[in-house]
Amino acid sequence: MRGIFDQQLSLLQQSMDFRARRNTLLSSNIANIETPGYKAKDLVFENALGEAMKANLPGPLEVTDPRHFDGRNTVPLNQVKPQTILTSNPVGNLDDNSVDLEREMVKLGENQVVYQALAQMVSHKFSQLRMSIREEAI
Amino acid sequence: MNFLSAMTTSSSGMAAQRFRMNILSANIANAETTRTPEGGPYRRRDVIFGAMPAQRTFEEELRSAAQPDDPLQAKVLGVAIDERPPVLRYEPSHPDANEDGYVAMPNVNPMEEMVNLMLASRSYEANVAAFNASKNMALKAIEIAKA
Repeated sequence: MRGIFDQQLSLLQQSMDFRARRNTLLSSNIANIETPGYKAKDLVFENALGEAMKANLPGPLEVTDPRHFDGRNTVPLNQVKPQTILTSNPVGNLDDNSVDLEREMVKLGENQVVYQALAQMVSHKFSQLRMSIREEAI
Repeated sequence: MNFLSAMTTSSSGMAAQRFRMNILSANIANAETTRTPEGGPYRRRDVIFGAMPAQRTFEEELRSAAQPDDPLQAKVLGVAIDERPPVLRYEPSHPDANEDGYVAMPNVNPMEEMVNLMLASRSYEANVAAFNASKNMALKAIEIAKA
């Protein structure tokens, strides 16, 4: 089951979705920078995604039938869920708020750059497909 | 819609900071006000912020439960009156002076207000930056369909 839209595209899509959600969460941290008692949150995803990417590789157990269990305990790629974590802030603010503005801004910038890179990769993927459909020369 | 909720969250932060700026400006403007409708000198005001989940429609509530990564919006929960006593200043010629020549002046410290004002303006800018980040990401996503 592999059409022209392969696993790579769904991986990119999932990563972009994760980045968009993370952006929302970081915006929420920044909006609440002066709310007493607010706890900064973050999303983690890439580790779980990397694990799920290995799902196609053979597991530790030998498989001689497609119904066999290969001993790998991974979630399928399309079911990987990002995890919400609380950001730790060792310095902390006096009002029990754990938002560190500089760190949130850096994360926001980084997240934005990675998102744009992912979007670029998706565009590139589509232009490649288009090129092969139209039999264009490179 | 992910980006829209990010932008709404940033705008909630901006609105909260702008409201705070209004209150701080009122404090500075009334630093010398000795007569108010409720009687006595002006008393400085402070804004109380709270983190609130965004308003969800009935359909959204039906479709899915609230998630741990749902953004919390910054909301102004209320305005508190500073209970510190008024500052007494010796000024016998003032019409509001008491029999000893002291005038009860507002408990406003201009330095404190200026510091808060700067904090509010920096927080506002941070929200603008977050909004622009969301906007650029959304525009980049639209570009995929182009070309």
